[in-house]
Amino acid sequence: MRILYCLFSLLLASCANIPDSKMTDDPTVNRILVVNTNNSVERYRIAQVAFMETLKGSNISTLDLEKDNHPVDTLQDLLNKQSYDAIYCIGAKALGSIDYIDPDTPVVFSSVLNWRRFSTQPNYYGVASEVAPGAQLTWFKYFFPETKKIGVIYSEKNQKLIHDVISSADELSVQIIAEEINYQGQLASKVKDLLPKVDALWLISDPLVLASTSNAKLLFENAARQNIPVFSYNDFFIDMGAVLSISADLPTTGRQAALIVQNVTQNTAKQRSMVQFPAGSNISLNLKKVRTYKMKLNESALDSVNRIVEE
Amino acid sequence: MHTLPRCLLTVAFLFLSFVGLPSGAYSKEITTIYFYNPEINTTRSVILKSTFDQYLKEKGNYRFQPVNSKETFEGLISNNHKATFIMSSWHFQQIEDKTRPLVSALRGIKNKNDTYRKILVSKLSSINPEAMTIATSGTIEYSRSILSSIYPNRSSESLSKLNILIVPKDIDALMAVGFDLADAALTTKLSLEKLSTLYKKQHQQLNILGESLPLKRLVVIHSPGKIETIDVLKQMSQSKKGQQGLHMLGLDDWQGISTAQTKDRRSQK
Repeated sequence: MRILYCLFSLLLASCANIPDSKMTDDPTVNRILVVNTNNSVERYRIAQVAFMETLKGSNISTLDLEKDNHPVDTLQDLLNKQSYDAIYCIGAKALGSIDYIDPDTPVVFSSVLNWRRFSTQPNYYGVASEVAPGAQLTWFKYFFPETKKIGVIYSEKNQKLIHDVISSADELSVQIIAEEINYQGQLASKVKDLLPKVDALWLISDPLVLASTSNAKLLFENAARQNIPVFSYNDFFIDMGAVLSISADLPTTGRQAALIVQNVTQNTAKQRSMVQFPAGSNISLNLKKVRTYKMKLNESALDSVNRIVEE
Repeated sequence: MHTLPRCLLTVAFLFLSFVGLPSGAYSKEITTIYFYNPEINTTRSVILKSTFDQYLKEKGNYRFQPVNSKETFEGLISNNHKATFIMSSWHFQQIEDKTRPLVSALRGIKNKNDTYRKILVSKLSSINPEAMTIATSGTIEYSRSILSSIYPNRSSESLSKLNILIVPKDIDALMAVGFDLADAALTTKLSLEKLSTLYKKQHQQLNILGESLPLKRLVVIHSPGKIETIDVLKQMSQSKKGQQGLHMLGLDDWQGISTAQTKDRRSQK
């Protein structure tokens, strides 16, 4: 019985590495490989479904790395057996494994937090994981038109982003008050200095500022104590007390990746920048906090909300 | 010991089924309001449902059910005679003659207007179907149909070469153009106005390349003779929760469609 079980387990393990393929031998049809970090994770699955839906009828095979402990070997074997015109990587494990092999094939990626690392790498294209900072600011202003001064804490890695944001904020009649930190120990004093000067605190994806959950808690606790609402780039922070979050719409991200693959393989349209910001937004609004902070909400903005948190 | 009461209950149920229940018992049946709109993206189904259900539960046994698939929705219209349907007027026009007799009872209004226009907006000065990506919040079928109405002289084959990027909201489509993620946006004048109040510089860079004919806003349809749900929907603008639901659909209120209007429209066809 035990032997049978072992044989069955081995069979399952080997099946996990076989790509789900619907490839044809027609050389005129582009061959695309989708490598998914873990297809049972909703955000990865949604991106894959939207990607495949957009390229319906194309020659696509998929590979799920969920249970694969040797993804580089699996991918290398696969690429030795079959050539592809483009590879779409969903998530860091998929992209990291492909990056290790560094194939000549164009690589398109999404759902990768440290996407900036790949933004200048030749032959790599992708969709960033956060909505463009300027677009986030536009949404903040749309929901809360009376917000005039927005505070943000950042580290060296986001210097350029903050510089760009400050100029686009002027056009929205918003003033960005930014404080830079060089090490985590500065966070507590910087946030205390910043909060009295602003109408809202904006959390951006920063590896030093949000290096730990305790850093996030520190920001939220200080903001709550001083009655300052928090805007964020991810829905996760709504449950920590953020008033509004503008995150990327996952199906749109998959559709954008599909269009990038189309452009790269067919060379029919101009390729925009190597990494695009997501074109779709997913908006969460915490009405309970809106009332707590007595904020003036633009009611007609409600038709844009995906999730409302009430009492 | 345990089977006897169950038997009794079964007999009682069968007896009541044959004899008939008092009318009060029937009124507990839940009436569903189904919603499908190819003009907008469906990623907000959960919030639409919860907002509408919060309003409807105060009004009686009603529930709201967004539908993601056109085929499923059309199947429900054909087979579910007790339900009420909120749908795109464009979609209703397509199926009106092919389905069972239905009454269009209410039309959505925004700023006192029951029509709106779709516009094609771009930083470019003309359309080039060979090399353009258009961001839109509608389905591909709906967006291509609107593009054909904006460009009646262009063949559908030429327009089919356009890359269409479906985004969740009209404002996303506009921002996609503003932030160079798409070449053009198929959007509404109202959304463009909203953006212009926020982002003057971005608005100044945008050109309106074309405009559709006026399109009717959402319509509420039902089987002949079923009017309780219509009254419930008509009262939405009178309560805070109802207004929230209307805003979710991009509307201010519902206005009644008279039988005469419906007949006029049919005779114009």
